[in-house]
Amino acid sequence: MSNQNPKVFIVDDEPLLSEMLTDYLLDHHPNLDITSFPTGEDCLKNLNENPAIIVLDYHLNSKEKDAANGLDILKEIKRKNRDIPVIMLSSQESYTKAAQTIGVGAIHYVIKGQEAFEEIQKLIEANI
Amino acid sequence: MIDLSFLEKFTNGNTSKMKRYITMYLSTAPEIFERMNENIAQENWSDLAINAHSIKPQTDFMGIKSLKNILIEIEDAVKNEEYESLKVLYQKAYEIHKKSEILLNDKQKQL
Repeated sequence: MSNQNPKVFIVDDEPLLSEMLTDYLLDHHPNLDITSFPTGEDCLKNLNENPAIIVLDYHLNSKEKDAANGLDILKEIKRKNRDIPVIMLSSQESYTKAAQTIGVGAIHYVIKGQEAFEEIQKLIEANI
Repeated sequence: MIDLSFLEKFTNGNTSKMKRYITMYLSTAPEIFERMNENIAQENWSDLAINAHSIKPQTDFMGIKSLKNILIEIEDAVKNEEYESLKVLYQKAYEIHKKSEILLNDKQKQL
């Protein structure tokens, strides 16, 4: 990692996953500066903080029906700053969705589950 | 019914972290099942699939494999428009949820 305290945004409406991922990443890299957002809109409002990487859930409207979904948020992030690496998260094993998000500019599509934490950690290490 | 080996490994046996994660699960899961129950009553199948989808990873972390498998069946049934099976599947999921809730509460007290 080149940056001393890289800023990581985690965008997920499931508090348990955000909490576990934050703990996991900090256990491996205590210097990370991690912020969690329950909606993509909250993430967009804080994009001026220049995160080094964003972990973004695909389904962000299970609780807030009016919340934008992860794909729309990804498009907006890329419209505002193409250089921020974005890792998409989903509990759905879908080649179509994975291809769709990669096509819009995500660096990877990670399936939520027990293996996801290590996979995300490695992707962060490789991309910031 | 519950297998906390993943959580034990994930936390390196840190019981306060395990308790915190179990507490978070126990505080969010009932809400999601309540929403799924409303979805069943309203025959709102697309929202039912979204709610089943949203709790699925959490059941994986808590090691409730049988619940995770039924949630996958619910998602698949909605996708394949097999709506007639959804009420039974939801009932099965709810029963496993209630039993696992008791077991997780007990485990939490032991930690």
